[in-house]
Amino acid sequence: MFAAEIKNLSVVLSGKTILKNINLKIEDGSFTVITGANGTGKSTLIKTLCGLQKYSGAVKILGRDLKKTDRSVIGYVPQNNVSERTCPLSVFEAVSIGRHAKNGLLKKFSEKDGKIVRNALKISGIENIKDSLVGKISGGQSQKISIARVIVQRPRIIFLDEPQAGLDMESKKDFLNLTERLYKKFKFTCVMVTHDLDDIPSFCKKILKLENSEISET
Amino acid sequence: MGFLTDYFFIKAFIALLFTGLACGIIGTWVYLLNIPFVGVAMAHAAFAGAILGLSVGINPVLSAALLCVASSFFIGPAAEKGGFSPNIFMGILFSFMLALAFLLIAKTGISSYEALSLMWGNVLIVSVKDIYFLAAVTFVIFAFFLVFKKWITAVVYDREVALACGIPEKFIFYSLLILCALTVSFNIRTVGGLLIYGLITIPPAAASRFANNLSSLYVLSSIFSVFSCAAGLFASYFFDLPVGASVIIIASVIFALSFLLKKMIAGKQ
Repeated sequence: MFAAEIKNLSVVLSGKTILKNINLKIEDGSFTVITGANGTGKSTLIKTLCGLQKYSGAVKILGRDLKKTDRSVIGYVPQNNVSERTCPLSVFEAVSIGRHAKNGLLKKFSEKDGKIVRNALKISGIENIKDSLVGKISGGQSQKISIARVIVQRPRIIFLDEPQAGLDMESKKDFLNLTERLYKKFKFTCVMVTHDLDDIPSFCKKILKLENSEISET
Repeated sequence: MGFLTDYFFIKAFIALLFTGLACGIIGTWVYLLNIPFVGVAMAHAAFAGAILGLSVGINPVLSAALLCVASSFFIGPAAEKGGFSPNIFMGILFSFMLALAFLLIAKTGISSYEALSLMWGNVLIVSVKDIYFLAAVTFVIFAFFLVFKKWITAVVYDREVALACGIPEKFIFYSLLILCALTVSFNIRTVGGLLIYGLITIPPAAASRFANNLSSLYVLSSIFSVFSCAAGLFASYFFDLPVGASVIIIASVIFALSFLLKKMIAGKQ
């Protein structure tokens, strides 16, 4: 079984075709990077696979149609947008959102959930800022929050949308180390898009290139 | 202390208490979702709806609510299908509704006094039925808030992340818009169709200067909103001023003070 299977995927946004007849198979447990120049539709592809965009064609996640898939098996790490945070949530509360999504509306946030969140904060190296407000932290720390939120969700497949964009060199390196540690520890499938070849982790075995709506292996 | 036995004053005070509470919570959502235009768009839809109601002889509050809720259904899907920010559609809606209202005023012979009373409101003439409606809307807002608090938090934090996590983001977002529409339209007689926008926008903005968590933002926003309403009513009673305008001016003074106080505290640190 493939972690993700895409057949003839097309996405049209505001009358403009962004992706056309994309075919792709992502192996379970693999770490795949999709590269390509700006504007080729990498982020659109990731968002579509996370169920955030309307599309035509067939998308299967872990063998099930995306539209019928339990979303909690999909983890999404968006591009860094720390400057847009106006919500006065603490880092702990922001990471807990992943648990709320997993638990549903009726189940209360239990002591076990708290333990899972604290553990994710520790693994991600942001335990020391758990009480800080999300709007007052750096871009690198913000991305670690996204990672921690995804960890507590216990997904099977994680999509990362240019997670290192806007980070300084040290934060990029730090983020890559964290991603590698988590990938090896939790053994989930990872799909990351980036336009910068320097951002590709050394442990990545499969690199794909998106160009003119075609995906090819590099 | 004659105001304590004044039937009109007591009715107005109770009505504004509900207005303040509802706007404190609704305003916090509008602030966190960064859609300040929603208030102005809804206010103008309510104004146009009320004028429409007067021109065809139906209850203006009811017609205001209908047009307002219809607008809230339009804003979200239209923005998504068009690929624009909801703020763009709210701007268009605001202009269209204002033009529609002026057109109806010009062609149906509604008196300028009646039209202005819908713009500025007059809480002293609210009926007991109006107060029941305000209480019901406030109750629905609080009930929705308590039941869906976890999902609302996720949506106001990041709509995209909430959707990706599997939270029904559209249901929450549209529900918030509808509750905003109901709050605006049922307050057309209290603070007024246009000034209600200020009461939705200003208290949470002032509260955000001091709030260090989400709960304190909700609480401070509600306190500032209720205080603005109460102080505005007293100012209106003692100095013979229009209530709606007094409420908004006091809310604006609170914002200015919060801004200065925050600067002073930051300067000392």
